[in-house]
Amino acid sequence: MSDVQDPSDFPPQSEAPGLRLLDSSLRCTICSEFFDGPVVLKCGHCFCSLCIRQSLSEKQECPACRESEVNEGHLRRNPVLEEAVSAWKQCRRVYDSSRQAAEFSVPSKKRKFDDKSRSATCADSSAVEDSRNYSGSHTNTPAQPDDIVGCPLCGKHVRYQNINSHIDKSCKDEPEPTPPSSKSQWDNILGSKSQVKSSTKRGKERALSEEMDSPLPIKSYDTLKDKTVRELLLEHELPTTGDRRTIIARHQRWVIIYNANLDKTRKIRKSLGFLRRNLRDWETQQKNKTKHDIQNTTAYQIQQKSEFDMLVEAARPKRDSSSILTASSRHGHAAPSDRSSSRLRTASSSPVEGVVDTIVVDSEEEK
Amino acid sequence: MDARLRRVNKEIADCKNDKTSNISLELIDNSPFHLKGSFPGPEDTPYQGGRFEVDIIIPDSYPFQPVKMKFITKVYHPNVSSASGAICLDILKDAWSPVLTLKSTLISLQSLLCSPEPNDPQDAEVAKHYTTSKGSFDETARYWTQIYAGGPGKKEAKGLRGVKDEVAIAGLEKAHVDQFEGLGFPRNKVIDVLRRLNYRGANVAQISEDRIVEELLKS
Repeated sequence: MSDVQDPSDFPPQSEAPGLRLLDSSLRCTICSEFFDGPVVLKCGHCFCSLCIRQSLSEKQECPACRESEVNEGHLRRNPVLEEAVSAWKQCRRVYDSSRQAAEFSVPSKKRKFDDKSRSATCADSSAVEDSRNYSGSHTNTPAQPDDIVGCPLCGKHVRYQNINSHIDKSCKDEPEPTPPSSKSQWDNILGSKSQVKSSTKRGKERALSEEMDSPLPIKSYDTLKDKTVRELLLEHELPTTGDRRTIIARHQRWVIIYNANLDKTRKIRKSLGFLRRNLRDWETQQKNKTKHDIQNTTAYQIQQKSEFDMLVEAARPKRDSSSILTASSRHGHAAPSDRSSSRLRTASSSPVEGVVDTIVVDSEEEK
Repeated sequence: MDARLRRVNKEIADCKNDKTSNISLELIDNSPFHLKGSFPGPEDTPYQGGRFEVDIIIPDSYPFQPVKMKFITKVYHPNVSSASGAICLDILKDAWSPVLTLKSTLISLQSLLCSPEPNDPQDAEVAKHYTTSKGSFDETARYWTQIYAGGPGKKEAKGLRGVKDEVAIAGLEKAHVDQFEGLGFPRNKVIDVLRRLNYRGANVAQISEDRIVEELLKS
């Protein structure tokens, strides 16, 4: 946790009026980092371009004041704030190093000590910030309303929308994109490890030559065919491997990072090659996250059967005991009162369970 | 580092540094994405004096998707399930906004305890109790705070702490339960039925004894 910068790095308000406040007011309220390509909404609230674009892709409202009907078209760049942030980052570096000098004699404060070593090793903290913003961050999945279902014939994982055409083609619709092929396509585009350097150079040249000025329009993918989506990807030299869901997610993410990049001042914009690498990293991360998605549901059901049975068993006795209880309560008086007293005894030894039990029984009866 | 992890780390540090709100966050099972939060019961409510624990799960797409929260501590409240601790609160569902934090969400839970919304209940029985006899509801909520959330107990409460009175937990009158138990019905059955019929406070006059006996025989 020690490498996380936040306003509490500064002394409290009483000691250094305004410092913490200044630091926190230059931070985006979504990611709580310094504004990265700040943009303003029509209500005046300001966020990192990448953060607000992701947020808008989930829900079209201002996260701060909930003003509705806000969309990407309303975003306006805020270059003045961007300058203020970069100036403040410089100040912070000076502050960190002066604190380092001042506090070197007090190594007992572990957190601050770590801070020092960090600021010492990363002289250019803006580079750290950038890598933060581009490599690991902002890893949310764009909303994917379409579910993945198992094909009843071949058991393959198919998007619900495509299941019919998949079956029509007797389960031989699209060649199964294997992960290596996707990887090799990424490699072709980005250059393999040995070529990274040259590809970066190529990317930079392209960034200079290409006028990256007009933002990409947001597509409504439901109306587009797979082929069209692949063409869109090709336009930007992106891999076209993967199923429909993958390529749509890829293009969606590309539009977000591409447009967010445009909201920065020209001189700190990233090259297209950088954005592509960023997209690839994001995709790998998504894959790791969705690894536990069940590929073959029937196999999973068979595999987990024992656990399911156990859970079913665990759920049953309650119903049984309640039905026994009901049955016996209809017969006479002596037996049920015995049972109830024994139940009461157990209830008093573990009252919480007793309550849960009765409430569960209760709700079943209500249904 | 993952932006989500960075943000969660900051939020945990923020809670630690903030002494005034008296809200705490701690890790369950070493993952920063599964936490336990706790806050004091708000003053001038039946929850005063208790400390309420909340189970927090941070989803993959946090902060763009809401955190998952439910009460670990049992709470007697119309918008909290008395059995599972599930919470009915708009910001945990569709009114979530990425600028909300764990701290601000826990504060919202605290204020939910101050101002129940019986018209949008999570626990229908508790909501019924709340709307028909507020006084009796408050008493039950106070009793739950006392036995589950470590709230201050009444002085005259039975000497044995830890022994919990089922009748009081259900928010019923002991005399009523005794009355029907005397007719030969098992005690817990009587408690069940009386609670379901909301046999409390002013509502007692609305429900005939025959109706209760009928229900007792039916169940």
